[in-house]
Amino acid sequence: MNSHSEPESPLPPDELFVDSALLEKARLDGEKNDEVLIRSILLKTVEQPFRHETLHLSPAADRKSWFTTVAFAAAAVALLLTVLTNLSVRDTRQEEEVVFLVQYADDSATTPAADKNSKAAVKSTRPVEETVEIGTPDFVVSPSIVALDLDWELTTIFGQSVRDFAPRTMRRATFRIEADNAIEQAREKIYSGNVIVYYEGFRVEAEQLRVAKVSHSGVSQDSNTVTGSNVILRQDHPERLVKAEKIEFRPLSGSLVLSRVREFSGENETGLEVNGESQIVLTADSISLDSEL
Amino acid sequence: MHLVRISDISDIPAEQSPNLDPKKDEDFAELVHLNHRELLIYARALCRDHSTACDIVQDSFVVAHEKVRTFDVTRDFATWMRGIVRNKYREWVRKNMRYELTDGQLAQIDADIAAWQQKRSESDSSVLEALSRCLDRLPDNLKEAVHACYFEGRTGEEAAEVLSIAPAAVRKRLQRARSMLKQCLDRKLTTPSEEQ
Repeated sequence: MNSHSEPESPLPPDELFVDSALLEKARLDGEKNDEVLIRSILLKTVEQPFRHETLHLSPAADRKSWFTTVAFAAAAVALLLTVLTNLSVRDTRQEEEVVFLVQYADDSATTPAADKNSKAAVKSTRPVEETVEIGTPDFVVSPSIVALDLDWELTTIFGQSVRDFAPRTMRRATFRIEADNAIEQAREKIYSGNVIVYYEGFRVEAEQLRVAKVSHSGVSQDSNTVTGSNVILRQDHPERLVKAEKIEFRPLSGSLVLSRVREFSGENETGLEVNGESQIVLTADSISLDSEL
Repeated sequence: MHLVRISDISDIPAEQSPNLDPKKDEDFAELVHLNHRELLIYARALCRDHSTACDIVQDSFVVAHEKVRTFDVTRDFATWMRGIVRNKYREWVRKNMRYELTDGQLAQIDADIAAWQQKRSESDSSVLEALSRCLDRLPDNLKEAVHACYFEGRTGEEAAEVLSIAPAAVRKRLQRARSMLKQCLDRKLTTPSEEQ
């Protein structure tokens, strides 16, 4: 949906208010709530998993177990919650919004002792003999999420020692998908026929688009969450055009990766040479070139 | 047009949800449910983008939750939240080097949202429900323009083609529609919600 005023030349304030209310009303038509947003807010506030301790460590053993948990957290636990929201079906054309909540541990925030480059000298080591008591992780079941195929969300809760060095960050990635046809399968939904995807200022036309459905434990960071074939990507600011055989969404970075590129043009990249073995990695405000080999 | 300085409305005493204490988790969750919609409209009016508005509202609630111990329960939670949203919006403007609304424009939008938050607390009548009723009363030609551009997501040019009028006429109709809707919403603020 388009906003009807340019940010640089806003409407009068009273029209801004009505314009905003109209846009929200249009977005919410057919939906009665903002479950995804509310869920996300609650997860970051009153339902923060790290607010509860379920790993019980005896004090003497805390340091040893700390290394175990550091290794676990540094692996950048990525939990993906996918919510497919059916917006409307006009005539026979499918129009849907796919929202990914990308929740991950920020390994850059680990404490210095977990840093590989730590220069701290080791004076001596000796085995720790105390018993390490590890409780059963709790599972939070959230049946209130409105989702096409998602009945509940699984969240693993870590203990106190994890809390200090692995704060979790959550980011939202919203795809708006229009297509003539959509087929649901066990693990994915496949769109075909004049597929158009809107994401972060990009407009992507694709022959086919596949969107992975979430499993009960989320989707790993390596999963192909959104992939498309034979695509034409357009970006207005800055102006870019990419034609490629494949496009893929990388949830952790929020980037789009185009491979087997057939054609590329960009107003800021006139000297950039792209061949069939190049991969173009795009975010709303950056571009980089990788080789598939 | 009524302009209200932000400093004037920030001193409104707590009248909304007097039984909810944001320091309690269950009450905070209820306040998220109660207030997120108007805050989303507010944030969107400021930044002009839905995703950014969602981020601003979410970040604002996170800040509110972190600082909830400092919240004076005799004050108004919605007013406190609008202040946080406003600060988050200004952060976003600075980070992204965007056009910033003037204090007067901010105050006008703030006053509109504040009035509807107050109305909802008194009569459970939300701005979107009132907007629905106001939309029904628009003349057909304006209603068509609103429907094409807002509800069908067409650009001005596309709407012009569908409506068989010039793009400039679409813009004019939208402008008139927004103006009439604002007048209608202002009237509904001063009338009991049962009056349709």
